[in-house]
Amino acid sequence: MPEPGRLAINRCFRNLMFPIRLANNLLQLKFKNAGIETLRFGVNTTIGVLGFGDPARSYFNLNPCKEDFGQTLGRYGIGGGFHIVLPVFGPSNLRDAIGKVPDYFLNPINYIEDGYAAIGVNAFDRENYGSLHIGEYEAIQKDALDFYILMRDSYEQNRKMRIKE
Amino acid sequence: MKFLVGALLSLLITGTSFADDDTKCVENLMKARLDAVASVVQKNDSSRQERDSRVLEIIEPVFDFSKMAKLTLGRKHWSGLSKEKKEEFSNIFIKRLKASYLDKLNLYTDEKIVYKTPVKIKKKVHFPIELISKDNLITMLYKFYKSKSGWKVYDVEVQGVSIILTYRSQFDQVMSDGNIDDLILKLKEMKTENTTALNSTKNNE
Repeated sequence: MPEPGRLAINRCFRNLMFPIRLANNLLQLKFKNAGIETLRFGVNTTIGVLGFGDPARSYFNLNPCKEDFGQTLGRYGIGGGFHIVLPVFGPSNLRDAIGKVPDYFLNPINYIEDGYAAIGVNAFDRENYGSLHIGEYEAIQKDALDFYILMRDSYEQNRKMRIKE
Repeated sequence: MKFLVGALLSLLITGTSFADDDTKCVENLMKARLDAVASVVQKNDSSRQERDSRVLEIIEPVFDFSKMAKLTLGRKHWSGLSKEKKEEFSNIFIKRLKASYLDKLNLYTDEKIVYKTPVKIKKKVHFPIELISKDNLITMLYKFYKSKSGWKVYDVEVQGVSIILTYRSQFDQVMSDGNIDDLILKLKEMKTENTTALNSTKNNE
């Protein structure tokens, strides 16, 4: 599938994950961002046709406010704990791995009744997402003296920034 | 009393205007450079080699590569080195850093550069920018310090990830398992891998 199609599918999936962002913005008392997310969801689901488009960003300049439960925990002073590399998800740490549990229940895809269908939809999302990031792994690896340390540090620093903002 | 308040006020005003001067200075300096780099990359009318040398010409005066080399080793490892080893390490590291930077320019396509307001933090100035593409937003932070010859970049953060810090923890690992010669050797091995990669992409074009 050509890239614009894959981008649209990815946008649709990200739009579906709205409950995760809304709940975590609220938990962090980021009411303005929670409002922005709600507006984005409303605009993109309707004018953006089920989230395949992102008119909220292109016409109203509303950028996504990505928050997850790991960031919420971090916001309240909980440290990352040890670093772990999870299957499928990649680099993570104790806090963020635990944070994936509440986020799992906020993800509408996991409420598809047929368990196999839910797994299939999630796998399709990962596959599609991965197709948009081909070459990045190689680019990072080329820069690495010690790939594990590079990935670990990049992950932890990036999370720190996301928690702070 | 009036005099005291006046004195304090003027101190406050000159104080802030100093800070303003510094941030303004960095802003003007960097905006011009980054715009120039973007236009060279976007034009895409020259060979890879020509483009690279033009980009380096633009950024070299504002990037303090030697400082970066020193910072990636950290005081812990740097101070114990002989002058020759310092130089040998710096040379190879700077080459690698430049190659890596130039390589990343290939990823740049049509992103819009949005300049945020620089902030003065103690003696440093942090200049945040955003690269906005159709579907993504990447935040970058250029960190400046005041050298004898003006404001210079000593670290760059991409999405909160500091280049200096990530190199430092990798180098620290190599140094605690071995010594500076191991590190230099490793960097050299990477170098060849990198240039072959550069060559192969050139052949594809």
